[in-house]
Order: sequence, then C-alpha cells, then structure tokens
Amino acid sequence: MLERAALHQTRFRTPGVAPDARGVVLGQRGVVLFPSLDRLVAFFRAYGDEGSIDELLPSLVIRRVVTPLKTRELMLGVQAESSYRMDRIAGVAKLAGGLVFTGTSRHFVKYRDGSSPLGYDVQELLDDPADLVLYHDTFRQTYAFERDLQFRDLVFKLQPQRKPKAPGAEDELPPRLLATAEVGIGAAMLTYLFRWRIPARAALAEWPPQSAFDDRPVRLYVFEMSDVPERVAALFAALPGVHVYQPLGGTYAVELGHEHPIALESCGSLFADDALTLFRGDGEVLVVDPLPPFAPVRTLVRTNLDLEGPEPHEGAAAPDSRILALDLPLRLAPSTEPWRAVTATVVPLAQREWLARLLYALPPKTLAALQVAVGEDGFYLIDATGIEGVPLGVFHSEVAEGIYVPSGSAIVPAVSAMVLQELVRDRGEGLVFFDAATSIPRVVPKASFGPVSRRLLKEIAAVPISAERPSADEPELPLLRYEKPRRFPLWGIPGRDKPAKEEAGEDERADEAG
Amino acid sequence: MASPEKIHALYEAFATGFLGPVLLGGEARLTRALPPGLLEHFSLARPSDELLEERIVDQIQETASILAPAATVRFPDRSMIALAMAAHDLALVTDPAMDRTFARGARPKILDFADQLLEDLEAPRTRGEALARHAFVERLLAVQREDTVVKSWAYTYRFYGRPPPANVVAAPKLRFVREEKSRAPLPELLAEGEEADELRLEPRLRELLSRSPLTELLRTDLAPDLVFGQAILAVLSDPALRHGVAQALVLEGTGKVAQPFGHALRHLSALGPPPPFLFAAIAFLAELHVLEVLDARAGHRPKDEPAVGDEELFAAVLPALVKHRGGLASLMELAAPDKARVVERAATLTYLAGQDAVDFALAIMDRAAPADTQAAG
Repeated sequence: MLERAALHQTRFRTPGVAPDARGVVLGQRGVVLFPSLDRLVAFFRAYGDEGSIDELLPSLVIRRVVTPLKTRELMLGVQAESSYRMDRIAGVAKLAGGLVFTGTSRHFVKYRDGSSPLGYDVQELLDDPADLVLYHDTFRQTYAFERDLQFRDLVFKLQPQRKPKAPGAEDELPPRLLATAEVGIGAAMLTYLFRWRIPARAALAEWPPQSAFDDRPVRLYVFEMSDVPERVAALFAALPGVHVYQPLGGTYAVELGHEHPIALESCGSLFADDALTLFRGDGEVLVVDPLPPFAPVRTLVRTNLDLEGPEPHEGAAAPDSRILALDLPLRLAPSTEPWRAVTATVVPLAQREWLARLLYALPPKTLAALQVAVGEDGFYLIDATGIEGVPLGVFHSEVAEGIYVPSGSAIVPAVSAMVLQELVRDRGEGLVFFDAATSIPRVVPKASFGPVSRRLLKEIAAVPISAERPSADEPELPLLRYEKPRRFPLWGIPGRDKPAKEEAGEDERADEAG
Repeated sequence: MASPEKIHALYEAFATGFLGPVLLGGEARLTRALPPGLLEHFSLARPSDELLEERIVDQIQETASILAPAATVRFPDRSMIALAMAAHDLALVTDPAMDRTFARGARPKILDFADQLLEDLEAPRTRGEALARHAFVERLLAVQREDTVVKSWAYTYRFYGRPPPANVVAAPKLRFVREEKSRAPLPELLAEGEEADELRLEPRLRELLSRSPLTELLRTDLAPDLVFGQAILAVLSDPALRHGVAQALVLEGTGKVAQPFGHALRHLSALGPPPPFLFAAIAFLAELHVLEVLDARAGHRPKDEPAVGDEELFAAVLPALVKHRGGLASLMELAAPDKARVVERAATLTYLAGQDAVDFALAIMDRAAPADTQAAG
C-alpha cells in the first residue's frame, strides 16, 4: 500500500507533501490517531511532562472521527512545522499507542519510522468521499469527522489524582498556597490567619446561582497565603468546606495532595491571566472570573475592638463628647466563657424577609413571649425566656439589666453589672446594645418594644407573601343521555327545508308528545 | 317556515341540555337533530339562564387560560356553536334506538347536517376562536355514555344511554333485580362497531377534530396521521398559542408525539410550502425541544426518548437548530447556562437521530423563514 520515499525524491502521489531540508516527507499538518480517549490523555501526559503543550495549542485540533463501519477513534491534528517537532510527537505518540501521519488537507500518509527513515508515499490514492483518509503500511482507512473536542474541556473534565507519598519523604509545602472556604467558615479562617500572623490576602468570589431555586449567588472566600506552616495547611485541608490548593502557575492551582493528569504547567496559555482556575480533588473546577480584589486579612478581621494596640483616640475626643456619656471607653473582647442569658438578638435589615417568614412559623408560645422593636439599622428582638427560637441575627447576652453585648464577647474592663449600669447613665428607660462592629453602643427605648402583633409583622414583611386561589375543581365528566326515541326523528325539526304541510302536521304531533 | 319560538325552544334545549353539561359536567341530553339552517339563530342567541351563560364563559375561559393566559374568549362563538351542533348530530346517531324502521333512514340525513356544518367551518381566524373551539372539543372527547343492563330471574334488559324505567328496577330485593352499569367514551362509540363503520362515524370525528387545531395538536392519539394543515399552521404562527401547546405537551412528555409530529413535518416538507409555514412548524417543534430541556431542570422529565422512523426527524430538529445559522437562529438566543443545556441535549439527540436525520432537518430549516422576512424579501 505504501512505498518508501527515496532520497532526493521530489514528486509524490500523496497530495500536499514534500521533502523538507533533511529529505523527510512532510505535509503541512501532522495527525495522530488514537483508538481511545485514555490513549489521547496518555499522550498529553507524556508530552506535557516532556515538553510544552503550549507550543501545540495554537494549531491543536482534536476530533472524534468515525469510520464507515461506525467505529470511532480520536484524531489529534497539529501544524507539522518541522520534522524535528514531528519526530518528538511521533516518539511520544508511539509510547501512548497512537499512529502518526503527515499530510496537508485530506490525505495523510504514515510519518517516517525506522523502516523508512525518509517517510512514505502512497501507491494509489483513495477517491472515496471522506473528511479524512489515512494511509498506513498495513491499512488505509477513510474517516468522517463526528465532532470537535476542545482541549480546554478535556483538561477541565479530567479529575486530579491523589499524589502518593513516597515513604519517608517529607513533602515540602510551596511558599504560596491558595484556599477556598465556604462563607460560613471564611470569617473564622480570616481570624485564624490573622491570629497566627500568616501573611494572607482574601477575596470574596461570587458565581451566579446554579438554579432558579437558589435565591442568592454562590459565594466562596478565596485566600492567598504565603509561608503557611505545615500544621496550618493540614488543618485547613482537613476542614470541611475548605480546600487548599497548590499554585502551579500564576492563575491556576490544583488541590494540595493531588496532581492533574496533564502537566498544567505545560499548557499555561489555557488559563486567562485575569481569572483564577482551581482544580479540586473531586474533579470540580472553580473558575473565578473576573478575579475579585484581594485584601490583606488584617484589614478584614472584625476584632479591632480588642486589639492590644495604642489607643486610637489620642485625646482627640474629650470624654464628655462620647455618645451616651460613657465615662470609660468600654470595649468588647472575645470571651471563651460559655454563653449565658442569651435573651436578645439583633437582626440586620438585610434579613428582614427571613425574619418575617420565621415569625409566621414560630409557635404561639414563643411568639407571645417575643418583644420586638424596629430600629433604623435592624430589628431588636428580646425574649426573657431565651432567644433560641429565633435563629437569626447576632445573639446578645444580657450582662446587666437592660444592657446587652454580643454573645461570645465580654465588656472590658470587666466591671460589675451595677457599675456598668451606672456607667451607662443616660440611657433612661432604654435598652443598650453593644455591637462588635462599632464602638458606640445603641440605645433602644423600652417603649418601642412591643409584642409581635399582626400589624408589626405586616410592617416587617418586605414582600407580601403572594397567594393564589386554588384552582377550581375539575368539572365532572359529562354523561350522554338520549331523548325519548321518536318514530320519525326528522319530522318537525325547525329550520329544515320541508314541505309546510308536513312540518305543521308533525308540529302538532310533537306538541302532543311533549 | 319554522316559527322563531320553536327555533329558540330548540336552542334552549340544546344550550341547557347539551352544550352546558358538556362544558360544565353533568347529564348532556341530546335533543332533536340540528340542521345547519339553525346555526344563524344559535350563534346569536343566548341562554335564558344567565347564570348558565356565566358559568359557560368561565369554563371556556379557564380551559383557554391553561394554554394562553392572556386571551379573551367570546361566547357565543359562531364556530364553537357550529362545532357543538355537529357534535350533537354525530352523538345523536350513536343512539341504538335510531336503528329502527322509519327512524333508520334519518341517520344519513342527520350525518349530512353534521357534514355540512363542518364543511362550512373555516380555519380559526383569531386566537379566541381557536381557544373556544378547543375548550368545547376537549370536553366533548370526555363525554361518556352510561349503559345499564338490568337482570332479574325473568328477563334481561339493556338500556343504552337511557336510565331504566322505574317499573323495570322496582322492588329490587323482592324481584332479585340486578343492575350493571358500564360507561363508554364518545370517541369509542364513534369508532367501534359495525354501525360506526357503516356510517363512517370515525372519519367524521376526525373531521370534527381537525376543525379544532389546538385539540388536534394536543390529542395526537386521536389523530395518528397528523399533518400540519392550514388550521394548525395558523395556530402555530401565533407565539402565545404555540408556547401554550408546547408547554402542555412537554408536561406530558414528548415521547408519544415524536412520531406524529415527525410525520407531519416530513409531510409538510414534501409539499414544498412557503417559508413562513415551515417557520411556524419548525419554531413549534424547536420550542418543544427547548422547553423539554429547560423543564427537565424543574423536574419534568420526558417519559421516553424518541427512537426510530419519523421520531428520528422529530429528534433531529433540536441538533439542526443548534447548527442552523439562518432566520431560525433567533430561537437559540438563550441565557448562557440554558443554552449550554440545550446544546448538550442536542448532542444527545444527534447521537439518537443520526447525522442523516439532522442534515434533513437542517435542509428543511434552510427553507424556513419568518413571515415578516418573507414579506420584506
């Protein structure tokens, strides 16, 4: 089927091939045929480890091809450029079980091998209508293109594999790590990173909701950490909802302890510079595009109230100018003591819809005990028997009569309840709420608290719950009923062209029957 | 000449006895045969019971709103009344009591009435008209006849569509009278039996069904050799109705409509129709596919996949639409995630239908064009 090319041979039957400077028969394109997808992946693995896939990418085409007998194979096409490149491709392809061909448009002849160092030429061309005709020394086959596969899709669909640890070998952590965390745990990670003084930056990435039933976008914290101690990395990796990634390039990373089947470093041009691509161990790929702004964690932690730093107000504000006339700069500090007397919660305005829905669902007993005040910045709810029934907002514990601090925090200096009440003198009959976000407590007049009445609920409810009338009952099935049989069914029917005499006669008869 | 009073009395019997119960449920009593000459009066008259008229309007509106929520349906609608009169006449000849001496000869004449009423009925001209016809025909197909067999130790009587007289069933315990009731739907009565074959009742039912294109599209089980006729294409050219029908069909699953619609598309294509006609048909089939994909997310899964024959052509519409670059490409202007799902589904359908079917569908699409571009061109 094929004949060996001879040195200095210039004319070939295969269209679009010519000898290159070394005399090797070469077309403009090279084609590698693989019997299955795993062989193709094996090729990319080997090629990526050996050289750079990036150099193939601009002209890379992967197609699923089908023979007239409907067997499917995979074709990889690249620009041949030189016989040196083709030699490298051929070497790796042979390892991966692929067959290498060269040609220009439709007819591709086997690339050179040990039997014929200068390549091959066909003895006779096939003129079958086909998208692709391959000539090998053992077969010649026509193929039709079925569909294109994108290399990017292939890379994104491959699941990273767990990296086996060499016995006794200590894996060195890379200097830079990336991590994603669910929103619920992200804030705690911020605090943790800040507490252990790990240089890190954080951003909040958002994706549109995955379905119409999700009422809010998907959010994840993205951390970029440097010089992470091994124990911290291990702790984060073990936390549910947290994934730690090892960056391979500037904008792409694979989960720590895993490696992607294809060497991603060799195909870095796939990943955009202004996006972050994260390959999770379970096969999911997170693409953060566009990249949200990163901020150092020290600017994001919310514990500035208990920082042991210099007094931020260097006498600028006179004590008598403090709001509520607090004589001492009372501050909040995290407390490890168990929560006691959690009897109030402050629900931000953003959660008003949830609150409205929740209040509708509360049992009558809880609802009766609940007192609510609607403030400018949120809803203040108190329940002397415990506020656990309303799992919304920031829980507050009553540290002195009418004085509430966020649960899990304590007022420093640790003054007694009585002293505290004296310190907050100007509150009158109001209830005082401390907030971790601001250093100024808020006073809510006691008179503004009232039972959760129907009127109040209506005020709270941002969106009236829409209700539709239940659809009307399906009408019952109609039942056919014939009239009494008539001897002459057509007699006496009005509107029918009949002699007047007959009509009159039947009319009388019909009237009698009626 | 018949007196107007007699005509109106017949109308009252028809409206309150037949039309009302068919739409609202209950006992639909057949009255005298209704000749086409009465249509003029019947289409203008209103029942004396205003409450009945109000309930009929509500019922029609409700049935209509399932398909096209914004449409307003008129009552009385001339075409719906004509359909109801024809249906009444058709139902009348299913009475076994008509197969008697003297009465037997009336049946062909009554069927002539029905034929004439149907012949004069054109394709619906407004959305409301199509919906009104559908509201009636859909309910008509649900009409049943209750047959009673009364047995005692001495006799067995059969009563078709009439209640047994009191004296036959009196003192049941004493006389050991047993009653057995069975129900047969009207389409079955018109399709089965020697009488039905002899009188060609089933073709007439199909004829009646073809006058209500919406019902014909929704009840392909009654119209296996469905073709996209002028009436159906008129309905499909209205986006609201097209969407309503597609949605109703997707809820039921498109598996059972694949063959009829594939056949109809093949038939239409073979006729070489004007591009706007093809556009309406393709737009409808494409919408069916797209809705099916997008509704799958909401929990409605098609019951079965189209497989062979005409079904291949039906399945090939979506892959062809994805490849199509002409006037129908606007149908694929979807949000990115939705489009991805549609494209994914199209790939599956390409595999199921085969490339030949997709190429065929693509060739049909290349000939289709919306009505406005056709006018502009």
